[in-house]
Amino acid sequence: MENMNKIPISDFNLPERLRFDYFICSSSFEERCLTLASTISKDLIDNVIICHFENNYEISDERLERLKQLFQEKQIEVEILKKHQPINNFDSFYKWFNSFKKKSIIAIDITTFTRENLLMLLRIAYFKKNDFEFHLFYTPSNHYSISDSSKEIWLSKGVKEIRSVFSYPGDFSSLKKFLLIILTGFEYERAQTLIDIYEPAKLVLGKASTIKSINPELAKINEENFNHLQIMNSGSDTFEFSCINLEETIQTVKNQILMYGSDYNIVIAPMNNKLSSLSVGLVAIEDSTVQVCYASTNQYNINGYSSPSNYIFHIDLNSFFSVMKYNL
Amino acid sequence: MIKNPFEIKTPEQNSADEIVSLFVDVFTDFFQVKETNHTFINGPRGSGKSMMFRYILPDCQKIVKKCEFNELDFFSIYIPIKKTNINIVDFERLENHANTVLNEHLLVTYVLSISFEFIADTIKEELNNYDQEIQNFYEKEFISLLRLAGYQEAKMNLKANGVNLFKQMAKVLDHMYRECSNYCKRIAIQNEIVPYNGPLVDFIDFLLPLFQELNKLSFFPPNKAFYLLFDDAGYLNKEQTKILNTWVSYRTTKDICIKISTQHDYLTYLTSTGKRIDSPHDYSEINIATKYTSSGEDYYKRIKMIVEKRLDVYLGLEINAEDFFPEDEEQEKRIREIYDEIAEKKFDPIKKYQGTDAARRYCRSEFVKERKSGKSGMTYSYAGFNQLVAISSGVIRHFLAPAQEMYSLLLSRNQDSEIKFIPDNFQNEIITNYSEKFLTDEFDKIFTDSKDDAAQLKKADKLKNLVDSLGELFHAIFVSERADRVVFSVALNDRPDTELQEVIDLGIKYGYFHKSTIGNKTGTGRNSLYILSRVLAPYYKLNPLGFFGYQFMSSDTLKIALTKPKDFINLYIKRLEKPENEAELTLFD
Repeated sequence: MENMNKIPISDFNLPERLRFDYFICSSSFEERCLTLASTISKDLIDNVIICHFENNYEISDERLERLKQLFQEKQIEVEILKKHQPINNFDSFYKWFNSFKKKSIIAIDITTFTRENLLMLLRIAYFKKNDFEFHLFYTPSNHYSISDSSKEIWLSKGVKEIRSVFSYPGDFSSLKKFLLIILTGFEYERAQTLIDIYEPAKLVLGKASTIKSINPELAKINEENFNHLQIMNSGSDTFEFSCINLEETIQTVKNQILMYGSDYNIVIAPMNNKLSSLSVGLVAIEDSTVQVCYASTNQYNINGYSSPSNYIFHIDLNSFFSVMKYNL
Repeated sequence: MIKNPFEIKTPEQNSADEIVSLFVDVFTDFFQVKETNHTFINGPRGSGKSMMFRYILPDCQKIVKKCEFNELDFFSIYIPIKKTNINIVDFERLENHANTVLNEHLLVTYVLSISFEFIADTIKEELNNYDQEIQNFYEKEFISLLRLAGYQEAKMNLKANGVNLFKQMAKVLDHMYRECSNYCKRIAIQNEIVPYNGPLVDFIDFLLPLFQELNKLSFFPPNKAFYLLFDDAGYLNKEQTKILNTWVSYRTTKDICIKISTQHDYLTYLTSTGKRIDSPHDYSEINIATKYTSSGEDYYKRIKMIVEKRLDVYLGLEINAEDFFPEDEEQEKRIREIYDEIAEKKFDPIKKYQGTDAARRYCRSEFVKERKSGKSGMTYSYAGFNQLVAISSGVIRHFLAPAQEMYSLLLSRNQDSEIKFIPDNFQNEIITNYSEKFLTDEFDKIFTDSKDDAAQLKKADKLKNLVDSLGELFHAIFVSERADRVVFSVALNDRPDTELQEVIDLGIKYGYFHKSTIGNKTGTGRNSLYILSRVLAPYYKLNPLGFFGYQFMSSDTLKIALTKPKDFINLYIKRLEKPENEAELTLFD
């Protein structure tokens, strides 16, 4: 089995031996939270954990109910997550893994986890990599902000809070200046707010590669936003990254760290899709000097955030852990 | 790539020469910053706090005063508080551990390592003239204080020159910081108590004596205090904030003055022992926005100088700020015509200035009314340097941020052509969006902040009602027949109750209001004056220019706006419709 593969939904076939002791997913206002849950054979799953944020949008509550229906014959646990209390959520995640039986095979549908929760889950998975086998699934979107015209594409508005991701604090010297690397996405305004608040001594902007992007149409809008961001922040350096190839993005981010790490404390803000965020998390686990940050949003475009693609990425997480340089 | 002259850079990104050439002196207004005391400098993001700090750093002061470092009036050290370093989510776990002790150690070592590195980077090679003196300092003072703190490992190359000796001491302190910081991160993830075996230091027994000894070195100004400039101290966590307040509560200004900048987001004024620090007893205080709101002319001159300096330094353009941000010519032509008409109509040979005074007061109001009644669909334009300065409401960033956006967008549309000015329609479009975003984005934030707290949510609703009510009232006054049509503030003639005060305070926190005072009508005291931010002028279609009148009212009347905005507006609209009731209106309370 390859460490990452793309599976068409119409022909969703997992390798023969794969059965999951636990299936973990997250409710969301996005339709994509239902894609894998609707597709995957329930015979392959024993236990289900659905994460759900308290005080959520009505549509998310409805989708939680839909997820419960989809897995009604299974043992379901709903984990209520608290907004803006990452340590509380980290502890909840940790508790599950401590309660799972050793050698379990765990499937996590990362599609609609917040980047912060995804990264914390990744950290715990890394701690537990010798106890469990982790399989991640991601359903990309084929179109964003479906109720708006492409020029006015928006996913979220405003930044409520910017914080380091718990368990990715970095190891910062008070003597080094601070460099911010942003893997940009559509949310140009959020990126600019992050820059304004952090006021880094040096800024490095990552642009999703047009050729290697999930959707070329979206990549074009991305590029326009990126140009604007670059003009707003003259003096910033740039690089390109892939939003579909984990290994490639890991190497790209590592190269950036190599280039700047001796002179700067580095904070990375993954603001593109979950796959590139995952790459950032894997790099930061391997290189603990790097901090990862998260900008929580004020308001999501719940009327038209995204629609699902017709394929799903499958990631064999343990194989990524096994090639880490400082593999504990 | 062409430089954006309005780009908002962090002061650290500028050299001393650049700062001295770009800085517009503000210390006549904010003299407390340079005084030998502890000071809080409060101002919204972008009001110039960091720039002020940068300007009083020794490298700039040396250029300004044309003197040596040891001839300066004080030696200041810049301590940036970033969200990425001293305050990270992982430290929240310390609540279950030796919170105060560990946080004080982190803060002391953070401040000191930055200070030693700062000294090396600022004084540079000159330090190498004092190698022996610095070695003695290291051997007699530095090492002995470290040993008392339980740190044994310091191994330094004593044959190094002065700069390197300071850099090595900075590294030792940084090592102490990181050792503790990494311990804190470990216990955060493990969430269990593990003994800490590293050294521990605090302000009284380590930081203060170290600075007292440093002051004896001959390259520092003798018997002058070190100024520690904590920039953006609102980013400290609550425990660290209490620790800093404890330092402020100590009477150490002979040796160390603490200057703290905040964005009105300082978490607490309590010390670690629960005592409260107060002004003027423990510190002096500056509120930048309040100062500039009450002194419009000074502010206009400052922004003009800033803009012209930037255009010259970054683009080589010697141009008036007014020409770079031109007005809507057609609009201004018509306003001048209206001005002349009113001046002629109201001319009185006995009262020489009556005509021009009325023209000045009413020309924009009459213009807006004319546009409103016309079928052209055209609206009032907020273009022009004059208006943009007024709209920025005493906060320099509210001028620079939209100007930066205007310049960037224009550049991205005309990549090859040089920009000599910003077209008026472009200015108007961006400043109008900026005004709307200022209201909607901030309210999104307030509502999200309040979502889990019903009481807070009610307060946010009331604030939205209050801001809308005042915005609408001031617009109604602007297009009325009243004598004073440009009104931006409410003067309360009595003390607001807790409910109203909390809503107003929330508005101040988010920058919708500035607070000031005004003499009461009987001349026997002062009333609170709450000024609506002029950033909202384009949103509520208000005139940002000119002298501003204020509306006296009672707290009970203003309270109506919290829950019944329509009733509040109707109450005033009725009076505005009858100009003969004007006296009643201005005295309405």
